[in-house]
Amino acid sequence: MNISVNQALGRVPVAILAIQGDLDASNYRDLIATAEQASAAGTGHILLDLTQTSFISSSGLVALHSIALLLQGERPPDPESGWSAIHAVGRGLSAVAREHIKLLNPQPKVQQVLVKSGLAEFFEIHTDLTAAIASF
Amino acid sequence: MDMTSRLRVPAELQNLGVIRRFVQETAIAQGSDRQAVADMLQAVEEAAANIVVHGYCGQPGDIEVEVSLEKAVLAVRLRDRATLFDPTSVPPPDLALPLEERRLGGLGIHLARHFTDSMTYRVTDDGRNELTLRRKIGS
Repeated sequence: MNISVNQALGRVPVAILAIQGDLDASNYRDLIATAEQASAAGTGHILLDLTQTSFISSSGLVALHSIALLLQGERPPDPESGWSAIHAVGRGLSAVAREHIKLLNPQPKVQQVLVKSGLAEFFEIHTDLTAAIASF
Repeated sequence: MDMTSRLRVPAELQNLGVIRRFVQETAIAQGSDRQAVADMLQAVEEAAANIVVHGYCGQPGDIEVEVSLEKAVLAVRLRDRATLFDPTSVPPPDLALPLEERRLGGLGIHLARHFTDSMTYRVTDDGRNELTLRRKIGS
């Protein structure tokens, strides 16, 4: 998996994290770390571009959940502390986070996993990059 | 005629992609349809990740993956020598709860259940965990 980071300016600055490849248990921490770096650099809005992501596991969903927590001002669990700590997270995601992280172009299989996990109802999903940036 | 192919890899997270590719290529070659294979890959990923992370807990070990097509059913068996654990005993999440009250724990097993027609567990004669995932093809 590769993650490219680009900045866009709509009404607010938006970091676009484009994921190329499968998002699974071997690399989901890389995505969290990239989002943490963007957040530390002052980015408060993240668009996850899933156009080239054909597979997402439950670990990938944990990454999305952790980034949402991060953007609503909470510290996500330390990935180095282990899978159990991350999976034990039971904190909810607020409407505040929904305004700060959005998804672009999830592929059918990824969308199916989002729906089945219940996370699809939380994330705002876009299919057009310009509209997605303008929505923040 | 039943066809069976096997792979044995070290139980490491970086091998999850190797396992998925093996299952995908083997199942397609055996005659499974792409939808069935895609669903199976989701379940295999979750089950294999659980073996690596919760089963072996970072200790060295192997995962054996066996792929077969048995009377229009794609079957994948995962065998390991980690601590004995029956993942089918994990209760399903309470989907009646609103999202903010749900917990993420157990999500992987939930997805594995959803994307397969059955999940069965047994301890093999030589004392290994064996999880069998089945998905009908052509449906």
